[in-house]
Amino acid sequence: MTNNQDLMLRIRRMTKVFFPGTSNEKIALNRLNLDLKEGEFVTILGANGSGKSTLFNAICGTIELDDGIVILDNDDISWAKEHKRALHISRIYQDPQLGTAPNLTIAENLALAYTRKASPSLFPLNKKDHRFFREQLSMLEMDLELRMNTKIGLLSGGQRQAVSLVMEIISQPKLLLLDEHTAALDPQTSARILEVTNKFVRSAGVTTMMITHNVQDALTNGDRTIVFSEGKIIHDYYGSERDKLDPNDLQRLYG
Amino acid sequence: MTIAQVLSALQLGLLYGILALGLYIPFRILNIADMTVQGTFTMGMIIAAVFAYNDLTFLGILFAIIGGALSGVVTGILHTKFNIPSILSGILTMTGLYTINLIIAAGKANISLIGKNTIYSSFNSLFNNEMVTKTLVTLVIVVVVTVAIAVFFHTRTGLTIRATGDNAAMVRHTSINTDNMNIIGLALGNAMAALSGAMICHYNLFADVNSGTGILVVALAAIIIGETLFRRNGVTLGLISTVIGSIIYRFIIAIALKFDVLPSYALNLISTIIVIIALMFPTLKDARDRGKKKRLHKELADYWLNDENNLQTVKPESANEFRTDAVNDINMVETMEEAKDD
Repeated sequence: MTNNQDLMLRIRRMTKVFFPGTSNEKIALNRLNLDLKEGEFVTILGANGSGKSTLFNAICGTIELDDGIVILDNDDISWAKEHKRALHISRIYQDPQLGTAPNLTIAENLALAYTRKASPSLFPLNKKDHRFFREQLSMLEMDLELRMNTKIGLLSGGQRQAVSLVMEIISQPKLLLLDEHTAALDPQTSARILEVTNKFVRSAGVTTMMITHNVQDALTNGDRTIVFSEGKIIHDYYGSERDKLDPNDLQRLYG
Repeated sequence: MTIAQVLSALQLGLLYGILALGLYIPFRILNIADMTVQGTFTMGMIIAAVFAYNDLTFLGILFAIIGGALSGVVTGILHTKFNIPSILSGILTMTGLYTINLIIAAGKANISLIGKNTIYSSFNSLFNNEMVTKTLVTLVIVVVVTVAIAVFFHTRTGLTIRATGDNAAMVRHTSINTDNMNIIGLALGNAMAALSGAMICHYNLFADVNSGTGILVVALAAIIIGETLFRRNGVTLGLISTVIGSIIYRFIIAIALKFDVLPSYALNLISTIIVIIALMFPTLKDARDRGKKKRLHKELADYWLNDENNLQTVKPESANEFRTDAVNDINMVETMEEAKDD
């Protein structure tokens, strides 16, 4: 691969064992190695329990690793606290409830996400920020920019997920993790969110990993696809090899 | 009720309103039932009394607030940094504070301020009427405090604290330390409880290390009455309705004691019953509405089932009431769903 300095994310020997020493012992991550180039958009496939979400949890610091190194933009974050890592890592969950604060308005949620990048000011909702939020929301083409003072809890799942997406993008992360973020939505909304995701990811040029169970989505989005099984990467497709892949062949890997 | 009684109920309502605000912040904004408040209320009282006794009237209020805030920080650290459940952290700090309060009071269980300078006596020359001074000074302080807290919760830090109570995981993913936000919120709440205690000490010219007993229910009553009357709204309205709830609570107590049905030491029992009734209210109302609908439904079912022809005819009068309710419910659900779909 390329020179180490150009890599946005380097993972070495990442290992996590749940309930070690008991009959329920489960090796969630098995000495995993993974490299991501800056701006790369990787889709991740794998059966339930194959370690995809554990990988995200380990990168975010939600769980502590048993062994291994995580280096983000030449910065060793293996032992950094969750909220410290969050400065550079954004994550969107499958459950639209998780990414937003229901009793705060759209504008307040965005202001919260923008806190770490906004110019320091006492009150979060100044005119300049407000205008910026409005512009970003209008890119969704969901008319949410007209409802900025609506409480998030009143929005539908798709709308909440769209707002989460804007929140993560305006915070300008180095790494964006999408954890089946369209799985809880209806097919139409799901397609819309995916389209918006592509638009945002490409325009911001942010390094992105997206977990999905939809093989078609995994191949049509992004520029690299990796397949997980039992805590290991068993396939890594990119370039022309990936273009020639048949979704049906890939589907069989689940079987 | 005489004017004097009305004014004294108003004054007490406002004074305990600050305490209720102190509980509102952890209880409703952070979602933590903070028991520390009981200890910090007394602490505020004792600190204010000791300072006022030594003629440092205003400095005493300031130190009471600082003492309350520090106690809140202790509870916050126990809860967030050492993962002790919030209710237990509060109880631990509260229990420890009992001794600390006695130490501040130099081992005395109570302190009298009769003949000493208080925040009220300092302003007495302005109005020449004790009742007017007490009302106005209290009112001004309560308004200033409420506005200050409301403004604070619209600043960047305030917004983060509100979000922490709403969805802590999301705030952590925004790269904000939720531990610190909880600690700030608890410090603010307990500072308010201590301020309330300090002012009540100046008001009654008396401080007692046991005066915290039952104080949590008083604050809870104010919050619940406010919410029962004004619903749960945004933070600013929540703060205002809590203070109003506290005033209403004082009027209920004043009336209850006026009739001399119960002796004055029955205060805690009365408070508890008021809170229980206020908390049961929504459930009782639902049960009553449901019972009413069920009865009407039975009537209609009998009418429709007895004769097939009745299905085509005009319904009995009671049916209209039933239908309106049902139709209103359907309309409401639809409106809500439309709002969601938009």
